[in-house]
Amino acid sequence: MTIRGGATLAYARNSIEQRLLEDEPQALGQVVRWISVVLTAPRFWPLRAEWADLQQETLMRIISSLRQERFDPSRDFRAYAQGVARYTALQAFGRKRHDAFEIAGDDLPSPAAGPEERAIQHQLVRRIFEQISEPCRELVRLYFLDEQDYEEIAGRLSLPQGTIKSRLFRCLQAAHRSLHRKALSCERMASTE
Amino acid sequence: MSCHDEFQIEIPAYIASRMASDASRIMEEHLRGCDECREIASAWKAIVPALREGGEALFEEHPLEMTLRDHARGESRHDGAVARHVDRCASCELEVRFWASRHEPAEVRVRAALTPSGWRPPHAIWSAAAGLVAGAAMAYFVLASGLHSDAGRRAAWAPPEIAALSGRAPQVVLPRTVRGDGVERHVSLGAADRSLIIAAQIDLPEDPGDAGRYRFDLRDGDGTSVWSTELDSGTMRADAEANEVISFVVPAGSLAAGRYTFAGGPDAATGGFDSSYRATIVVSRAEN
Repeated sequence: MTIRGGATLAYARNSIEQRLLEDEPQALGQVVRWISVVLTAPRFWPLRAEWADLQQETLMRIISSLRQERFDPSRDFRAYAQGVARYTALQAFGRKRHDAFEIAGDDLPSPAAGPEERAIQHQLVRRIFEQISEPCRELVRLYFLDEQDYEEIAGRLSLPQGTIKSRLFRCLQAAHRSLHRKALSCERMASTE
Repeated sequence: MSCHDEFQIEIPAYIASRMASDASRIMEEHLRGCDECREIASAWKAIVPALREGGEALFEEHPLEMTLRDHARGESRHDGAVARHVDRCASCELEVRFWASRHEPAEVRVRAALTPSGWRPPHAIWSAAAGLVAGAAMAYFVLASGLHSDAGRRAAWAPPEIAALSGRAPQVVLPRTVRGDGVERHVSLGAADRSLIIAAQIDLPEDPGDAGRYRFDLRDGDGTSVWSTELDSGTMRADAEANEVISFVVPAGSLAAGRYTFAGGPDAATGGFDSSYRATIVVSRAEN
């Protein structure tokens, strides 16, 4: 057991850290999911050919860190694991000297693009919908996917049509801002490399 | 409400192409002069077709981690729905690739130990290992329990693919060889390593009806056997045909730093075992 800074670092029985060290499938699955979410973020799309390798590399780093008891169990393990994933991906960017803006923000591939670009579109759209609020998701879904008109949506949600119209626009605006923030964050990352 | 606000709330209708042509033309005039509205409209003009094409799948919850694992193994009960989701979800697809890779040879890991000739085991090396060394693994489990007093802190024995994934099982890949050709491979074992995986490409006799037994052992520099195992040729043949390698798990605790001879062969007519396969493994011990 390692003593560091006067504190005893050990992973509690049944903690995710300990279960990961024991190769418990559910713990492994959980950590793999955390890693996958980070690596497949739009900012890391230029690295998509390396995702599987980066996933393995990240997992190895996390496990190695746990085995050496370098992770402080009082911290949030998810944040730590995802931090390792981000760091690993950024290192890969450094190796490739790739342009982080290849797929960023509102530079979505055109609708007439090929299968690869269309797959990217689907991934980005999914990410956008994961980031907006549930009421916004519902509104966007009703209007754009189910193709209901304002009157139908207003009746369904028991709200005035004007409210529906302004809310829907605000949802689009919020999603756009979120995309924009991501692009800026990419820019910062690239400039610090 | 300002004029700009009035245009803004009509942007969804413009994006969805639900505006009358006159209104649409007026909107486009506004967009030409308004950066903010133009950026939002332009981004959503690209998103909406993808949204319609992706359909409901874009709004679905992600399948559970274990569902994706089962899907990777072809054991999911909801394979169609999961496949559709995976097709549209990069993170889930990456998870599936992870689980699928655990049933394959983990080529990236094995590649590091390839011979200069470039040979590498094709697929499912670990499943071969799991199948062939089950007996050895069980024996090792019992052995390891006795060897390591801190077993409670350490992971229990795991199948080779899990052990290798977590870095707990270094491996050495031995190419096809003939007696005395001097194949030598180096491997470093750490204090935390509980097993060494030896993956050997071994030629088996042509006769598929042969039902003899094979014996393999690992001897130190003094010729003392530190590990041995026996396998029947039928099992070896099936796995070698599927995987091109035969894998063995050797307890790392029994291996001090030094040179070892890994040798083995079929039960000879004389009653002993031939050692037609022979290679040298040089073990070094890492500090930590």
